Amino acid sequence: MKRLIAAASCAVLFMLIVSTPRQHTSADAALQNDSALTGITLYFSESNGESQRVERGNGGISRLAGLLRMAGATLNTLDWRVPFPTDMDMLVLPGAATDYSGDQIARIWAYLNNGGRVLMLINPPLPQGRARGALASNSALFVLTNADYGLQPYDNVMVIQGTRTGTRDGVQTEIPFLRPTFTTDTLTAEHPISAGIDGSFLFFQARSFQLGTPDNGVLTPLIFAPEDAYGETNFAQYQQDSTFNFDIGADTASGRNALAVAYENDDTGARLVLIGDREFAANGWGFNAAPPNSTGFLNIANIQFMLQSIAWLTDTDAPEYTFPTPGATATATITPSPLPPTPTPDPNVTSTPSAGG
Amino acid sequence: MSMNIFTAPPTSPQSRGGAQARIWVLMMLLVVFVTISMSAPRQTRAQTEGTPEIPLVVFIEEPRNLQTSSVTDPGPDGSSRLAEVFRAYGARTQFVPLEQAIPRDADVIVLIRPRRGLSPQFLARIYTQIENGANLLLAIDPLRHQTANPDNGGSGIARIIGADYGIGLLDVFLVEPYFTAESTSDLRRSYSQVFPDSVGNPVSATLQRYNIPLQVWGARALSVAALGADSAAFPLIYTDSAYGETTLVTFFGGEQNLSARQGQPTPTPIPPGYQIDLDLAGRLNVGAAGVNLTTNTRAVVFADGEIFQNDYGLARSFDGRPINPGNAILAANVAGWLLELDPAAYSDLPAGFTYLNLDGDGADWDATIPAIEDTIGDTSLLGLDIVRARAFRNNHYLYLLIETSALTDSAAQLTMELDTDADGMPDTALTLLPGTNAVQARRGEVSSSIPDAEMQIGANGIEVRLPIREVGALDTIPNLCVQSGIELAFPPPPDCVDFQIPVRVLDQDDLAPVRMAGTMLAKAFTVDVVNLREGPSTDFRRVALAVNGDLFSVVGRNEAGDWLLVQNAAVQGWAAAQLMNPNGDISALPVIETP
Repeated sequence: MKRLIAAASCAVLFMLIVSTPRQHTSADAALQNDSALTGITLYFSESNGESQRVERGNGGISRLAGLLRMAGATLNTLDWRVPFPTDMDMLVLPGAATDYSGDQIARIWAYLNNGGRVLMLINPPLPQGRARGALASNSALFVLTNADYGLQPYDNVMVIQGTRTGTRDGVQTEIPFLRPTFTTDTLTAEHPISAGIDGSFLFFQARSFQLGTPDNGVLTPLIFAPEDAYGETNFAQYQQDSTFNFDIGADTASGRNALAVAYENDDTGARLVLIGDREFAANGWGFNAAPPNSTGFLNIANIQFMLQSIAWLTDTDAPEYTFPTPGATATATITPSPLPPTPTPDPNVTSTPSAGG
Repeated sequence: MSMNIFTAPPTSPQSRGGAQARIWVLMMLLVVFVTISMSAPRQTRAQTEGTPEIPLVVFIEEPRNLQTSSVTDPGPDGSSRLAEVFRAYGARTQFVPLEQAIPRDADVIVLIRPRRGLSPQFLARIYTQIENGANLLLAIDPLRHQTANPDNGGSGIARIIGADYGIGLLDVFLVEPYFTAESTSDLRRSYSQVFPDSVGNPVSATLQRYNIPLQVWGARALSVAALGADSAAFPLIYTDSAYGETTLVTFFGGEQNLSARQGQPTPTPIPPGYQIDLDLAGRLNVGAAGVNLTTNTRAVVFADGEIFQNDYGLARSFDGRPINPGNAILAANVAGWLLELDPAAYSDLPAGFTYLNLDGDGADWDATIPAIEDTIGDTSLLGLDIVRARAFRNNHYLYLLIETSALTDSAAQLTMELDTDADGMPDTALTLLPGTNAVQARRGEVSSSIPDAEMQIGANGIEVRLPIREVGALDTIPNLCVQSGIELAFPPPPDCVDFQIPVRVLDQDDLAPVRMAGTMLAKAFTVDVVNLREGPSTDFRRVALAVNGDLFSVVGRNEAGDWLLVQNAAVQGWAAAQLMNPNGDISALPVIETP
């Protein structure tokens, strides 16, 4: 009898879901949202140099925060001095610049493995530049993810090797260079996070992940680097003197290198999404818009991926937005490599941003 | 032109007709009903359906990384006896290395004496199950003592227990007045006594009731926050005879070693001693319990790693009795509390000890102890009018109960005449006033105080505890009188018991053979027995025997320092210094003239 009632109620619930129109409230003339995240409370860490949700500059994630707020989510900044709040539906760790301390890692791990949901972006551990000071692969948190989830980041920077014409010793020649900014459209379409995303993801200085077999749960690579990209473990040297060399045994070979992964454990309820590039969701990078500060986002796939990640992590429907086309003057003139001394633009990256739509 | 990123269904608020609204309400009610009927409360720990849950106690086993005390080790440093305490409640015990996750059905996590700091991943393993509802028992040593380097006050675990339970680890070493670098360098000589705090709580209630001291072997201190945003902590045990040394590097001589390694000139070490601007003083907590009011989890923290180790806090004598009954009782209560049992279900008290709450109330006296009835109304002050008197002695103390016919005068004073040498003639007169350290003995013309004697006045009676050492192994009390301690112009005559009071002899140990705080202690250290003699050489008559672990207060030494005058409640005698483990510098002891 109980099963019958349950089956009937499920059917009724399904009918309700199908028949009930979604609520849309117009918040902006050019932007619609729904209430998919109403009642969802997200906490953002800011204590370790992460991108901040209230930061409107290029390094901030105020645009992501704005989208989440419009979808009805409640956003808070995490206070690490006290136990995690009980109303936390999801924890966002948007690109720590310094490693988390023992108690912080303990709280993250305890929260996660007791049914918590964590979205984490991490840059490569480089001594300088945007990504300086990020968590190394041997951070205690990744020792734990490796031991239990089979997941650990590499201490590399995914790069595509190219050549440009230059002059060396008075002779015009082809000079090799490394390009850490690239697009990729290789993804795992079967996962709810990446399903239905059409377009290329833009990465700016990403690290890749080593995937093993988790003790329990399911580990899914979501986005892959281009096949010709390899993981340079001594990118800092290249930043200094433009020299590089594929170091067998240290560098990560090209191939299907995961740049974003998802882990879930149905037994504990834990879910984790890990993205190997903090700028993937940063205002001036993955969430770049034209005109500036408008909602004419250039990299729609990045936005879609972030929103669907949060939807998956919070067990909600993804917010549905209609964004305006980026302005005509907003052709993405992304400088492919801001790093000296090889600022040669990359034709693959300077594509029209509307390609994502 | 706009891009429709996701396929949004058409929005039409008008489509919600009245009928649909009614259906919606009905459906929601049905869904709510089904949801409630099928949903189970979140199970934070594994439970076997249909069978009662057997609590699981997990002992952290990291002998290599953390040098923890091992639950699988039945030897002196092990924690196997603590596991027995948990199992006595029906709990399962299991040891778990932190390289792997702690079982999710763990109810209690026990971490005894980690001599190294917890790595973040180890801490994460533990905290994951704490967040999952497990309670925590942590016994952690001071920094640098015995070359230990456990977590300091700013470490991850310190922050966790501070934030979640209101218990803070302080980076101090508790130095008793008689401690020296030499004695603290030897773990077996680093012991000291601590006492139950008076703050009411179920964990140390038994210790409070019987005023049982405990032993620790080199402790740090804890801060205890009674009021927290979402936590409440209470102290369990404390010391007020020690101070908290903060310059640990210097105290333990590490700075010289460090400087030597670095090729630096050796600095002049700061001599150990209380420094008012650096060190802690006053009542210093050595144990505390806390509750997190949000997660409803519990934690007990002790500032000493040896407090529950096999051959330290939970050591037993050859007959199985606990050598440190206070530690044994606390271990049982801590286990019961962490298993969230009703205090009434806590383990029975160890057998073979006298449990008497010295409060002037005879309700806890053994009813079979004979009472001597006294004439009622033979004094004008009913509060001093003796109705009956009873006495017994165990292996250490003589206990007396005098009941009065009315509310006992709070200023009552006792006088007794005793025949301590059993020659048929009273030779000692005692004058007792309420409280501790207020008992005066007079033998002939010599008066002295008996610091470990005590007298308490209750509503209808007076209870007295006198060390056998002072009063002898009495069979009777020849003469006992009660009178007012207030000086009056015309004092009424005292009321004396009409007959001698027989003393029942019980073969029981007392819970605290040494009740003298702040004195240097010594423990018998032998595989056989230690003879206690009348004087400092083997030429003197033997007055008593001590077995390994027997605790004494050290009174003094002979000139050469090879004999110590020691005493506990039962005996006083001279012991060969090499057979005793004093916890201080014996050269600082007074030289006692030999008989």
